[in-house]
Amino acid sequence: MQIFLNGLLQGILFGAIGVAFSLVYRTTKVFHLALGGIGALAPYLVLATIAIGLPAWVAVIFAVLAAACLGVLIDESIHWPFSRKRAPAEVHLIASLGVYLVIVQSIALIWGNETQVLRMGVDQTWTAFEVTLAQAQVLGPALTLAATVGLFVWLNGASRGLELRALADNPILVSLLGRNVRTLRRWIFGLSAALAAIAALAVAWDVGFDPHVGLKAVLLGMVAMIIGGTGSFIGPFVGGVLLGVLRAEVVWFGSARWEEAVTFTLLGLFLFFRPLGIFARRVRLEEGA
Amino acid sequence: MTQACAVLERVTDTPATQARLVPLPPRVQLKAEGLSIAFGGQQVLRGVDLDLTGGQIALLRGPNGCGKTTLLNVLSGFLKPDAGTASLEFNGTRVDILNETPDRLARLGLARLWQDIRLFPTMTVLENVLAASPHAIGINPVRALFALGKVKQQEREFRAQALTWLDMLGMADRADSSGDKLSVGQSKRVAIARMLQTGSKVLLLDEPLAGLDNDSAAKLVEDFNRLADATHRAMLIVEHNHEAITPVCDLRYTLAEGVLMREELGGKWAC
Amino acid sequence: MNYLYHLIIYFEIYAIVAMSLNLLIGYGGLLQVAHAAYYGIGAYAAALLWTKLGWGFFSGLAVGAFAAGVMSLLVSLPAWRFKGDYFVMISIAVQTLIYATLYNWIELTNGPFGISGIARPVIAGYSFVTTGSITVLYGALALGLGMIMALLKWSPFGRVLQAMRDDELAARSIGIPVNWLKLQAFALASAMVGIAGGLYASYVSYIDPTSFSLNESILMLSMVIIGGTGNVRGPLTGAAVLILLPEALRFVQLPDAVAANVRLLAYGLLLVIMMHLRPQGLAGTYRYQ
Repeated sequence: MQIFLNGLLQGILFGAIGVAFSLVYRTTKVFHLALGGIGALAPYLVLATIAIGLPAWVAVIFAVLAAACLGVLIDESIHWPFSRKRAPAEVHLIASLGVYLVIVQSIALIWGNETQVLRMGVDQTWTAFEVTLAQAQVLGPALTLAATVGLFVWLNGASRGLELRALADNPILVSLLGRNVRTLRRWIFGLSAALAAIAALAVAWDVGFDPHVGLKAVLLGMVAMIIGGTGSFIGPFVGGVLLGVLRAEVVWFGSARWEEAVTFTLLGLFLFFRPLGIFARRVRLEEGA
Repeated sequence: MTQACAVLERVTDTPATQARLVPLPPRVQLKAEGLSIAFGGQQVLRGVDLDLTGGQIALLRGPNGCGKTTLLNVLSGFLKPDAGTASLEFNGTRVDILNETPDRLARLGLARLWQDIRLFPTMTVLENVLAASPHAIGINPVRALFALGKVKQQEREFRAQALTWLDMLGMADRADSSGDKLSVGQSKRVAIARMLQTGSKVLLLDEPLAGLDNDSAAKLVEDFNRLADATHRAMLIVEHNHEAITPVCDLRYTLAEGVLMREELGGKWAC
Repeated sequence: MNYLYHLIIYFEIYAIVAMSLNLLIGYGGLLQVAHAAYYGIGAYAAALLWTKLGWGFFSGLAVGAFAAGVMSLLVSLPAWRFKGDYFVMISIAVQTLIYATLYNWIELTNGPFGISGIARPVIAGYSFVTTGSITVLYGALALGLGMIMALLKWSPFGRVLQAMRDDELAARSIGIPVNWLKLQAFALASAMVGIAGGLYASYVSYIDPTSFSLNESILMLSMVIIGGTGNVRGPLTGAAVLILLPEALRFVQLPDAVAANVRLLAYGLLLVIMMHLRPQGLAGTYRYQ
């Protein structure tokens, strides 16, 4: 049970990153590698804000908002102009890679390459029914889960949220209907960055952080998206949770060395047997992966 | 019956009137039965049957967006239907279309022309056509490096053949033009030459006359007719310009509401 | 003078890397980020055969190339079903998997401790000990491989490869065996970069997994994007920039500790700028359609 819960909590974070990644990918087809950079930046912003004397909760809110702004900035300055020029997918991907490099290397230059932590000392733990959980282990995922649920509520309720889902399902129709796609994209890039930042802060609070975790995190988000399927937004979340649980179980029964192998075996299995993910939907020849 | 007529025609055409046994041309046949496919709740093909023999030209018509291209996609191996069978027959050997990849089908002798043309934009007109050369030993990198002599020899033959096709389509003088700098009509003609370069006996053409002026269209239709007769090719032509094609076609298929209707026209097989 | 030779040797090694990646990306349109993994397989295979079994220079190199070529199936088989962004995802996964294997399979590769004592090339009794002699040897090998690349580009193989790059669907429809081509292109490119790996191992005499990480793959990709693809000059320009940039940084008195970060930062910026202003790279001919 302990292992399961450990995995579940981690899986919530993977799921959130998966949702953040798919939020951008499904709607704009942009392969948002830079998201890894934004996530990597969040803990450092918290660190800097606390260093100038502001309380922790202000730091967190600031970091999340700053991440959202950065996300929007990246779209406005790079991806939106490319989309307008009808640039092919490779261009977006390479540009996103470039942005990732700029962000991460800037972090390394300013704050150094070493691992850092956001909290000191031994953490408070709770034990019940033979299961022990640390506060940091639970707090982050709980907040992330709340944020993700909030996002889903918004996607299903708010008119802007529904527009976003429409964009994911049928981009051409949406722009034909005259909806302001540009404004919608701002919401998309902003929300995805904010969610990724929250998940990143959760990890940073629990185990620490360094400039280079970003790409690995995005990879996990991608795997979550493939497992869960690109046909919905909840798919990647479920995929992430599944990934977290399975990794924890394998590490317990095998060894930590093979944690990565789990991710890729799962990826391989799903790609070959069920490439459309858990929640597969039949798509036309033109839409195929 | 129609094959026998052809044999008789040829025999009685010769000056000597003695009956002679003339070898039949290799039998080529495209056959489909019960093809059905649905997209997003809409039934695009409903139990479609099709039968095309070498030497025949068939027109496929129907309202816009009704599924003609979908049918071509299925027949050329790019799309798997929900139900039905499709096969290609060469001289007794049968190939199950639905079990083959599109490129293998093309190598076996079934080529298609795309409605949106799809030339290779970074290559010249000649290179576009040459890319379709069948059984090129040079596409294996090891042979390309170690069998230079044979590869070069084959290249010369391919080049000559490509220029012949381009010449027939009036594009030989643009052989070195870049693939992305042509008009729609010109691109279409290059695409047809490219399709012919494969040497395929069964040709599926999606709107070959679109973008051509009346004279070019008429000449092209004549060329199709000659090809079908002389080289015994089978052609299925999707085309809105019915008047241009009807004079030379033997069959007319009409697709409406997912159902395919077949009519035999007079054409050249009347005897 | 020795230092100049040192630079030229690195240029020769990276020229081979760039040309091999050009085969994949420039001629084949197969964008991927797993190249450093195969560089590593070639290096490790050759290094192990040289140090543990005393094999000859060319034999070790050949087996390294062969091993890399065979392992390329890990990316070329997925390439049958997945294109574009999904394929890049998978290549990241393969890169990480191979890196994890090199790092964790301590019994075979010595893990993070690496392999040391790799000898300089000895051919037919002659020892290539001086940097001058290695410059000549590696230069000859690079030239030979370059000529092979040129031959391939102008051959029917090169033609159908470029056709596949331009329009895979159209290429299939005229009988081009796309799946088979992908296997061949990846095998050739991976074998070639495997040779470069062996040359690198022999020159620096010590290798460990960190030289073959995802970051290195990203660097290699950036090198050919910035230099350009689709011809011979592009990859060579990319290799030259890769070698000269750190020298330029050293010239402006930048401390070595931050040099690596600044280099990657510069690359990130260049990638974004290039995509915007000059997608065909500094000296290449192929731009994404």
